[in-house]
Amino acid sequence: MSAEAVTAARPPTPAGPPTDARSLLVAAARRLLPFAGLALLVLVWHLLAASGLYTSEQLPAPLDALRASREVWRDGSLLPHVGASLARFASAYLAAVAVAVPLGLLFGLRPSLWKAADPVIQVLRPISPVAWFPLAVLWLGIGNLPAIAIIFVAAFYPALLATVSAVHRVDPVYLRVARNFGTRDHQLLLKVIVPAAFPQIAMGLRLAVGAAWVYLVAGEMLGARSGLGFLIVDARNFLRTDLILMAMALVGAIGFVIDRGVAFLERRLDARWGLAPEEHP
Amino acid sequence: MSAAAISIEQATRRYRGGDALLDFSLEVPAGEFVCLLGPSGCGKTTLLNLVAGFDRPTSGRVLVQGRPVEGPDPSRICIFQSYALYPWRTVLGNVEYGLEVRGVSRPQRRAVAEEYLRLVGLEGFSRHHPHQLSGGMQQRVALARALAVDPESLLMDEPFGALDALTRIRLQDEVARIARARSKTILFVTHDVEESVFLADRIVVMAPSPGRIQRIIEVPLKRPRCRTNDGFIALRAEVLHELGVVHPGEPLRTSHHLPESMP
Repeated sequence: MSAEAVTAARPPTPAGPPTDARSLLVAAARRLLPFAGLALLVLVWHLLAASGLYTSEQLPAPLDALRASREVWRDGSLLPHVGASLARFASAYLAAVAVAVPLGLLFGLRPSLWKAADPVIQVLRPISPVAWFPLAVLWLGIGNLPAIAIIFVAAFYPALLATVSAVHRVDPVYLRVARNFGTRDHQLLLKVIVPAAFPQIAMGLRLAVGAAWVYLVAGEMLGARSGLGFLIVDARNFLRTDLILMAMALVGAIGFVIDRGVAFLERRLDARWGLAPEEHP
Repeated sequence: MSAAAISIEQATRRYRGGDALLDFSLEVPAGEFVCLLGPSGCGKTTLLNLVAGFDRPTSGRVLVQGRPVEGPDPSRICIFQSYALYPWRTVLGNVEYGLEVRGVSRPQRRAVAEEYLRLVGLEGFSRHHPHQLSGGMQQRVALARALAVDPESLLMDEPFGALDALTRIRLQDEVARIARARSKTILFVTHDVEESVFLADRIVVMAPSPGRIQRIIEVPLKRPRCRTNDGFIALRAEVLHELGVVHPGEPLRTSHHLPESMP
């Protein structure tokens, strides 16, 4: 029976609401596929750990990492680290957005300015945010700020570039309509350009969230005294590989949740903006 | 007839590829419904853009109410084939737009917008967003948005070109009714012969490369018009003939095998 369900799930089933028991089963199987992928990942991890290829210090099993998480949860050190990471992430990300979006609007609206700025951005962008770290320490001192600076840099470029291209791609007919109805220059930005560009800006902001979260760990590993990145460095110093893997898994899981959350928000906004024709009268 | 609402005096619009419009002259009295008819590339849209103020003639003049057109103005509202509604605004918000940028107070513009939504038969849809409406309904919203600022003239660029045949007929009825009731001057670009015969007081048949007037055909049919009576069909045949669609051996009065498309 279950074998049949698996084989039935394999060929692409025609779209449409499931009607009979068999297609319901297929639909259920499809819903479980993402979890199956994750389960496979953990299984491979487990088998690798159990294979004896590495010692348990080199590669702890998933259950060891789970035990480690219980340990840091019980002694109360986990949540402050998570909290510190989230706070850094949020402040750096919001700061990046607050700078990148207005700057992107300006560059988008002034083609000559963008002609000058574009090569600057393209030269700076390939420099890994981590490469800024030594300078960030020199300029900002040791502590929170260098880590925040790295996350800032990571989030800045996707947010900026998405905003510029969003403004460039505003449908010219929207601007014609605006001019036709006598829209004044100072009204144009907020009444037409920003709302018209918004869906694409939002997409860039989502990319920026991902980038910011990726570089959070790097930033915290380099200088911070708290956070998930620090937890990894600290665990390394004590050769607690189980804690390292636990922290890595947690970084992945939180990143996943954040991305899903932002994607959800994006869909909601897109629907409002009339881009996703979900609800029909 | 009153003074010319729109007068185009020997307007030429030259692009690198050639003359989109050459030495074009036309007088449109206030309240007249003029259809610009012709194949693509005959300069219909170019002409509309000149009158709208989106474009300037290379030579010649475009006058509206006796004054040269300097740029777009709410007294001449364009209606586009793509509706060009703002997707982030509700239907009501779209219709209010022109009044909003003009600084009309919220309750006042709301009242006006609702009145025009009633006029186009969409009073129940003010809270919807454009993407929730069919193409025909979206074009009605665009029409209400245009009428809400009480323009002298409407410049319609193949407004029903993207709609299915039945919806198009309904909207033609609507536009004919509104044009009469509100006595707007209308320039209406189309390549649909029947549409032009149904709507226009005068049909300006245009020819391409360079864009120019081939012939101006008066439409003396009484309003409201009937698409199936003999006078209508005869005139339609005449316009088709003018465009080079000739059916040898086919008497004008029983011509129900006219092709849908033009060369």
